[in-house]
Amino acid sequence: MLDDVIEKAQAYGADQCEVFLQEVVTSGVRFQDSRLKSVDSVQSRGLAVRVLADGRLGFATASDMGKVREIVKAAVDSAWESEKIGISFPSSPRAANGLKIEDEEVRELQLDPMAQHADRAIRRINEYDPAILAFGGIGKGDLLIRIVNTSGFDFEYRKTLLAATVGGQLVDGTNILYCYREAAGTTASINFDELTDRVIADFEISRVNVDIEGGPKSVVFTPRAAVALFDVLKLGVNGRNVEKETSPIRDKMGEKILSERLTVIEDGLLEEAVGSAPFDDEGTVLEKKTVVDHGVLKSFAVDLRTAPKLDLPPSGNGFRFDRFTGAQSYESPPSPQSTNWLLSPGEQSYEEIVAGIEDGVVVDLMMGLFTGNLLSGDFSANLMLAYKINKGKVVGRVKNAMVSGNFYDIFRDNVIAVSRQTERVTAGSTTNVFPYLCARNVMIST
Amino acid sequence: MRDRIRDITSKFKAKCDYIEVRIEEMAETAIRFSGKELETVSTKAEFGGCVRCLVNGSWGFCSFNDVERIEEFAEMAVAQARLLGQGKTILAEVSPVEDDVNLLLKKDPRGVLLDEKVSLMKGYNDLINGYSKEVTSSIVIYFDRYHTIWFGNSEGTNIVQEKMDIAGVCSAICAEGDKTRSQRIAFGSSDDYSCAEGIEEKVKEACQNTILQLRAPKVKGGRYTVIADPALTGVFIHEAFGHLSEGDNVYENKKLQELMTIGAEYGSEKLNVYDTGLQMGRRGYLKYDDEGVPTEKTYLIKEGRLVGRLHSRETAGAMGEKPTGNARAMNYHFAPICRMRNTCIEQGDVTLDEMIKDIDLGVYAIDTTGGETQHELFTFGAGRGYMIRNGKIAEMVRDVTLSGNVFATLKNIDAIGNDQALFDGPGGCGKGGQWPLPVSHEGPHIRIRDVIIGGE
Repeated sequence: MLDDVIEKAQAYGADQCEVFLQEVVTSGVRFQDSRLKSVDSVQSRGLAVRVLADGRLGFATASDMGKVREIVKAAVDSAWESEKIGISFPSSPRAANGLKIEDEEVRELQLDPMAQHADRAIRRINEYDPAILAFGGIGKGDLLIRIVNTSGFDFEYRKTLLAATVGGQLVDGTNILYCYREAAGTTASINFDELTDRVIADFEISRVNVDIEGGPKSVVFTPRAAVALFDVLKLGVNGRNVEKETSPIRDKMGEKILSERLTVIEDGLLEEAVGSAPFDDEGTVLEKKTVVDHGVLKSFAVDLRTAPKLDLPPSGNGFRFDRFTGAQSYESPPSPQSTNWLLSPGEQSYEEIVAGIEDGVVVDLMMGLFTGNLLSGDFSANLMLAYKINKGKVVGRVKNAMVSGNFYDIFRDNVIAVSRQTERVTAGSTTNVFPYLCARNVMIST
Repeated sequence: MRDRIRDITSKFKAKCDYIEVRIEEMAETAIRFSGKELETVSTKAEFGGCVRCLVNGSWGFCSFNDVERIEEFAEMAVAQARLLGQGKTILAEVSPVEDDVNLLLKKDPRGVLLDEKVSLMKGYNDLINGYSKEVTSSIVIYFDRYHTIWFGNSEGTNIVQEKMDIAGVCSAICAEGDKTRSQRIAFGSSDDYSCAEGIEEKVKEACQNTILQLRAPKVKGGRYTVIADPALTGVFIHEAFGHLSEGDNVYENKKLQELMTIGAEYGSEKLNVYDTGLQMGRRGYLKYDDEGVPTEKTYLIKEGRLVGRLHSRETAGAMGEKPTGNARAMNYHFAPICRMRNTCIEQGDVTLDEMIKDIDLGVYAIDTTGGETQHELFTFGAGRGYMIRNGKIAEMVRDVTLSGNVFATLKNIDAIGNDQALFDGPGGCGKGGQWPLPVSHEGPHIRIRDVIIGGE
């Protein structure tokens, strides 16, 4: 069928054509209010067509296979609206050897055992405290991506996914406590009990609310908080923002943009990571590369379109991610997107870092980060889950407070510790391995 | 298609307590300029469906693109629901509806050539990029979408709804050294292409505001008296109270029900809040929700007291309340959940001047960058702000992000303006992975005491 699409595109006047096919099958269970509520399954299939006509790019997508002819024509028509760009679709990729992103165990996982894992999580949370209402979900997915283009590229890969969320909500008067943990990967390696243990541990340290005075403080960002903030850097190295000259680090290649304690590696081939794949959504091979080396900017993320404008080779960062949900989707045109990031660990343990802080805050979950001017690095977020540190000890939950600052100021000039523990954090379509990061002079408003 | 749906629901009726089928066809045209470049002109043709069924209180949901195999998927949905079902769910009763909802458009985007749409947007994009040397880049986005949604259930409801959705945004960007600022003007409608036309003056205003933001200092963090403009008020009430009013938060949560008993006091006597799906032409307009329930104007707060909430049939049934037509799904990939349409603080009688004149130190927060909420905590971003000093609007500030707690902040609204206005843009509401669902934002100017603003 894909060959047919290409033939049609050429018949309509396209010089080059690329077809991206995505098939997804998912199933899972969902629980809320300490009760299993639904079993959901999705079978979706769609394709995206890109054409080049006279050097102009056209784009169209369809899940309606009965409309393929119209869609191909629409793609060619839309090309004539566009301006000339000098790209061509890639030919063959080198195969990424031994990349493990498929697991038969995930494929064979039935709904019954998923429901049992969910039941057990609910039961364990209720044993800990019957007043907590457990919520969450366990789901698996099976993905097929195939790309065919007129440069002779015809490759596909399959990826399995397993994801789980376990959480709980505790209402006490007008004080509501909401804790959750998530895990995701391409193999059947999620430890559901451990996930539940972490939720219970979160409740254990969050029960007491403590007052805090506003002002600049030492703040420890947990791995998941740090990953959320490093979206700023993902926007900064995004080739589109570099090319449009809106990224604040557009002309800082080779310069120090972060603390020398920080090294960021991008690994599109990271084992079991949700963002790993043999090639990106345009057929450029993925690899491991340095983004920031001891604070010095080393690379930008570019796709086929932005690469020539920045005089760089395509870096395997052309992905079709939904701009709202971050999910991989044939409906979105490719744009530069970073894959899995690894932030190198430091020397101290998290516990040692906390022990060294006289008056500070541990920030775990933030709310409203996206409403800030993230491109410039300015953020201001509500502390959804955060803890006060007093004389080296975590003493209780801080709420009705905000954390704010500029990402580059904080992580260039004010990093005082990086933990040796790291955690896997899935965000959007990527898995990131991050330590705890501690910075001084971070503004807390109350 | 109507008959096919009727066949499926009748065939499977006996195998479950309730079953519904939704099939959706969607066509989209989208245009995106980034900087001087026309980055994408795209067309989308979506076709797919879903089956949802209920057995002993648990749902089975199955979505698919291969509509030919619908019967197979209906079997799957029934099997999935049976896997869990141990309890009992009561769906609130509604009268079965048979209806055809056809588009009633003012200016139909289908009557406008793609060329013309592109050149309209190019006009705005050129205006931004040629505005002045300080304005260095732009993003201009336009889309229009047509949906036909066939819905039928085992109770005899069978509806075909046509919907149109058009929206866009023109953003001006100033980058100077490591400073990047942007301001935008958005448009949207569910019945009129004209919303995209003739907005040149507003685009210029966005350019001017972006330049001013380059020089504006960051707001200082702390607690302030805040005046929110109508656009921000719309987002504020959506985040602060709309989400908490969604029935799926409370229907099986006794503790939260105690907090949210009908009659509970949430604000002053001046505070009235409603959610409505009845405003034809707005993005939040909807005749029937995705359970086939007619939408309505639902009061959530009257004279400061809780009077209602936003229900699906399941949540209304569980709580013995009336369904409100708020069960919405982003598209056929998703099951409907309790969602807002246009949530609004009803206008009062105070003028903006009256609100400002007795504030010694405060912030006038304008426009919005969105918001987020988690139960009682919420946060929302302003596009820009001005300090209020000694009863007068003073210097412009940037990065104004506000936070509140529903149990305190609504009571701190001490003035409600007489200047209600409605805003539609290309974004929407996110919940349960379904984002962006079209909603409108509406409200008057309001004054809120003691709001936390993050900052230096």
